[in-house]
Amino acid sequence: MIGIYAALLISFLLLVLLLSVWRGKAQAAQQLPSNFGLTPGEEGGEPEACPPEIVSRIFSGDDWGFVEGLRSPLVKKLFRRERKAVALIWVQETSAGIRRVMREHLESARRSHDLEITSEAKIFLQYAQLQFACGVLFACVELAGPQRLRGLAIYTDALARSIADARLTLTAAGVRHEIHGADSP
Amino acid sequence: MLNQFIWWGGIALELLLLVRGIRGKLVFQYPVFYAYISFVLLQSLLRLATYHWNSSAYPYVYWVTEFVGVAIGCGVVFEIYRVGLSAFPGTARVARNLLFFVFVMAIAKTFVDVSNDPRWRPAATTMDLERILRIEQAFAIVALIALFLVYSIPFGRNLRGILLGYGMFIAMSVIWLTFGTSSGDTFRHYWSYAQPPSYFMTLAVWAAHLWSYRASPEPRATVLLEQQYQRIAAATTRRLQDARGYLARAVRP
Repeated sequence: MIGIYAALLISFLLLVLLLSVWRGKAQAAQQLPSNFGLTPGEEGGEPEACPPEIVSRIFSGDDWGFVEGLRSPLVKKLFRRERKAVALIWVQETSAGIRRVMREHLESARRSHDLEITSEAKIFLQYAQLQFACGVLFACVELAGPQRLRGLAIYTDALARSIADARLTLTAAGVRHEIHGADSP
Repeated sequence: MLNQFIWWGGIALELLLLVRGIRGKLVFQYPVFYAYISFVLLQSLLRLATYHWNSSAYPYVYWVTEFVGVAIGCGVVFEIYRVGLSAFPGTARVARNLLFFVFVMAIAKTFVDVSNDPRWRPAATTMDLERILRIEQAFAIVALIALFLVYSIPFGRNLRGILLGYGMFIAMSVIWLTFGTSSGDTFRHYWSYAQPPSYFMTLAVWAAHLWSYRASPEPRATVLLEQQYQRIAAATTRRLQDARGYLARAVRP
């Protein structure tokens, strides 16, 4: 039997969703611009809005090294504050760009006749991972500042690479297995 | 006195809904919904007549009409899906699978519960069954609304009204049936005051939203029809991977 709490939870969830329908959130979402059909360069909606060298500069320790050499607490304080603000804006912009990519995907996918649930789930998972990464990055910048992220980044990067390598090995093994399977009578 | 007023007011609103539906040709757009309203109207009158002239038959009439109402209610959920997603075959496919899964689960669960229950008490069991079916309808509506919101599916005033009113009615029914089966008479006593106004509100929402026919807004024309889904999915995956690379660049050692 479905428990009391589960039943109340679904009623509450239903009422909350109805409230969002009542307030016209669905319609508001529909008003958002759709850029589908244009190339990424034309639409200008890619997450990569800022040149890579500037991004690297925001998070690099070089400038901080220079400012530290000046031995001025005021300059240091100003630099930290400004750099942190820029980094936070960059993370927010990137996150908004990723949301835009997803929204454009949903706008086009909803009309496709051959929509696949598994592919949709994979894309959504990828999107959730990226949004989570943006959230973590935002929190790290907020707490430690952009310069101190390096240590954490080195560790995360190494971990990500080893996972990617393992995935590639598995995929290659799968392809080899398929080829052998196809060859056999 | 107030309850009497609300009851007759509800009958009047149901009649008004039907008249407006016929005059505005809404009955052709939402046939199942108007069949449901007609049924609810007839059900109320039939129950009243049975209560006055043959009160011993009242429980049977009550439960039979209640279950027919639940069955037509499932049709209303499917109608919301059919009308709302008619221009969105991809999303409709996801919704169809989702609804099919929810209803199969509901039927399976109902049969399992009934067959496992050693004490067959008609009133309690029928109430439990109705509760399960209403909860499954609530799940189906939640899934539909979530799909509508995720895929930014626009719905017109009429469909929005049906969804709001029916969703509200289902949420209230789940609360009532949950506490009605597990709590004592105190809850039932208070609910007997709360239930009629909440149903009256549902009817008022329907009457306000279904006063005249309003076509559902068309999706933006810039979206190309007949897109190959694989192409769209591949493009999105590539763009998300680019975004991942871009994010990594920020903290790459």
